[in-house]
Parts: sequence; C-alpha cells; structure tokens
Amino acid sequence: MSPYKLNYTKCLSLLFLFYFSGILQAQELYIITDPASNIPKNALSLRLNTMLMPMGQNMEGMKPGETGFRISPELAYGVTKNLMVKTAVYASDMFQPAFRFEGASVYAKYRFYSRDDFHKHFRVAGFGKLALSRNPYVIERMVMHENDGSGGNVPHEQLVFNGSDEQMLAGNHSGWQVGVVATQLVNKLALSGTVSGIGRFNNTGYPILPSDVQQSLEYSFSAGYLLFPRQYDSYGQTNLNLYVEWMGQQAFGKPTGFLDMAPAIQLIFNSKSRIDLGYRFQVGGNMRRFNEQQWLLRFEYNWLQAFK
Amino acid sequence: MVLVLKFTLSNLFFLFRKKYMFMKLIFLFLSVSFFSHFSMGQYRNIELQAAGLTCSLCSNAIQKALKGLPFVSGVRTELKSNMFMIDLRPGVDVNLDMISLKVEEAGFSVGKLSVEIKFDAVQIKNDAHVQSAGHIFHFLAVKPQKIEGWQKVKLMDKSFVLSAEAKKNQKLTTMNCYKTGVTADCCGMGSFPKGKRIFHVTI
Repeated sequence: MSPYKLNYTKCLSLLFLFYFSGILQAQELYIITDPASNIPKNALSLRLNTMLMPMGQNMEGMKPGETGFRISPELAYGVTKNLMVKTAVYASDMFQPAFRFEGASVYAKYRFYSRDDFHKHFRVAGFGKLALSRNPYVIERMVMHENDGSGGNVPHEQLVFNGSDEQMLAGNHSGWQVGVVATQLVNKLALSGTVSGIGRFNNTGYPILPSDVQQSLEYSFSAGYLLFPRQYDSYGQTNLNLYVEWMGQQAFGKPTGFLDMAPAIQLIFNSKSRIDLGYRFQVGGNMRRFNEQQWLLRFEYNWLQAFK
Repeated sequence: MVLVLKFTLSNLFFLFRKKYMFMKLIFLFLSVSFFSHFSMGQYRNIELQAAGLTCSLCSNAIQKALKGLPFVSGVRTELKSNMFMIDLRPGVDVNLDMISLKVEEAGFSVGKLSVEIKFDAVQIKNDAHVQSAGHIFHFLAVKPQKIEGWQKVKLMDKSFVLSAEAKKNQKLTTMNCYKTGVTADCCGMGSFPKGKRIFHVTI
C-alpha cells in the first residue's frame, strides 16, 4: 500500500486553530457525519443540500476542471426518543447530459446507550443506510481506433464506465452502509467517531459494477465548537459554530483508501433553522475517486412537535 | 368537588345530541374556566435542570416538548444553566413523570427537579413513607419532623436525577420501591395500596 501523502500543514493549522481558540461550548450538529444523538421525538427536519463537486483530474476519461452540481432534499423524523429515520432524494448533472433525478436513500439510527451529565453526554448509536441510484456512471464517449485488417484505422465510439473505487451513497452509487457512532460532549468539546462497513451494488439500469472494490471500511472523526454567542440569553440569538471533520475509506482486502478533511462553518437562527457551509478535500490517499474535493451548502429547518 | 362536577357534567352531556355539540363546547368551556379558580393545586414552582445538552437548539426542543403538556401553561428558561421553570395550569392534574418523559423524548434527561408540594399535616422520618394530598411519598435523607402546607422537595427517583446520583440514592434505602417506583410489600402494606406510584423525595 502506498503511503498517504497527508497535507500535514493544513491539518495541523486547523487543529491548532480549534485547540487554542478558547471557545465556550461545543456543538455536535456536524456537517458531513451524523452524531450519536438523534433529533427529538416528533420533530421533523427538512434539509436542502447543494453540492459543488469539481471533478478529479487524475482519472482516465474525465474532464479536468469540470464541476458537478448536485441537489439533495432530505427529510428526517424522530420516531421515538431513540429512533430517527431520514430519507433523501438526489438530482445532479454528474455524468449526465442534463440535470436530472438520480436516486434516493433511506437511513435509520438507533441510540442504544446514553449517559447524561450537566453540560455533558456520551452516546452510542447504530445506523444503517440503503441507497438507490440510476446515475449512468458514463462520463465520456471515447473514440477508439481499431485496425480494420487492411492497414487502416477505423474510429468507433465506445462508452467508458467510470472507475471510482470510492463508495459514495449520496447519489453516485446504489449501496448499503451499516455502522456505529459514538459522541462525547465534555464541557467545551464535542467529539464524535464513526466506524462503518459500506458496500455497493449495481446502479439501477447498469449491470456492470464499475469497480473491483465492492466493500470498504468507512471511518470518521469530528469536532465542533460554538464560537458565538459567548453566553446564551435567548432562543433568538444567532449561533455561529465551527467544525472540522476527517473521514476516510479503506477498501476491504485491497491496498487502496483515502482520507478527507472538511472544515465548516454553521449559523443557527432562532434555535430552529441553520445554514452550513463546508469544504471537503482530500489530504491523503491513493483511491480512484470522482471528486477529491466538494463544496457543501445546506439549509435546514426544524419543526419541533411537528404532529399533535 | 371537581370530580362530582365532572360526573354531573358527563351525565348532562350524554343527554345532548350531536347537533348540540357547539352548545356543549361552550358549556364545557364555561364550566372549566369557572371552576378552575376554585380547584386547589397541590403542586407549584416546578424547577428542573436538564442534562446532556449545551446548545440552544436542544434547549428549545425541551421547552417545546414541555409546553405541550396539558397541565403546563408556560415555560421560562434559564439558558445558561438549562433550568426550566414550569408554570402550571390551575385545576389540571400534574403528572411529574410526564415531565421526565418529555425531556427524554427531546433527547435529554432530567438532572434535577424540585417542586413545592402542599402537604397535609404529616410527621415524616428518614426512609419512611407518608401519604399526603392523595400521593405517596418516600422521604430520604431527612430528619424526623412535622411538615404542613407548602414544602419544597427535591425528587430523588432515577428519572429525576443524574445516573451517578441515582446510584447514591439507591444506597439510602434497602426498600425495593426505589427501583420500581411503585408501592410494594416493602412500603408497609395495609396503609398503602399496592402498585401505586411512589415518589422518593428529600427536603
């Protein structure tokens, strides 16, 4: 396995920023990953995710510099105090002639351990996700040249299937994910770690699996801080939260993987709606991927006590 | 008095047909608002501190959940310490377990709950039960004394304290009712009905 070329300078500078910023309280409303805590019972949460995904430049047949655009509305509901469900639909212009609907996913998380203290908690939850996508995976009609037997080359068109070894269930692939997440909130620091198995199956309408990596281990580590307000006085105060997350994949049985880092900023309004802006980029790895970087802009609105 | 009234009212309503629904509602509204001034509450000044949260989004979830309770007329919040002061609706029965349940449904737990209860004149002593104002209380960590009228108590049951404190409280009594929350043979049967909710409290 080739060693990861981590961008240590970027990693460390952000770590130091968080470590020494002397911020008051921690937050766990992470941007990329989910914490072990659930949304409240009978709460309905609507999200609109928009993602800009500059295409990787190191993949055969890709157009460097091209940027994919994806929209994903998401609806989450707190079924019980321990169980939440979430469903999302995806639409993008990735590998497609036009912007169109690609697929959907369902997700459930069950919190099975919870220990609360004043301004503290430790929680553990198990989760599962199932995603279906009809994304064609085809990025280019390559012109191939073939010997016609009489010394001349005959050009002919051939579809080249994208070979991404990354498991990307938010629109790109059909697949499954099962994992465990643990979140610890200690006074001024909220940390969360996730470990999961993630795998793919054929996209709807495309019988060829475009990768020989079928299952991977996915892991993540997240940290979050409340920067503003310094002290809570009312529910109307706008909160400003800072996050940094690391997440990676390692293929089962194959020496390929990657590690990403994602700093993000979050605003919470009136204790019920929020805007997230995050930038995710690869800090190391050798896995073939569609995108090594991604911008995420999200709007979320929560209805507490949604149904009587 | 309220019970007698309710019984009378329900008999009256039975006589009404569907077409008198509107009248029924007006009658019900008038009777409730009239008699609520006369029914005496046994609880007041409920204060709880929630555990497991730091964010205002989380606190808001608790506040909204508590406001949905039928006996709650308003909730005032101290955001810095996650304290919730619950205003009670006069004349509506208070269920303390529902408060704990709502906080848990919001995703958190009650770390501390105190309430003023109107006691009949009773003699209390440590690790013993008393019945007052229709409820059964198990006093823990108290000196023998006589109480009467409004008395502030802190709930000791595991759904109203942090889990570490619940373990300590468990050691204050050998009786099984702390684990179950309901009366059993340990509570001196004969004077108390079996299987009734029992609140463990201290002063």
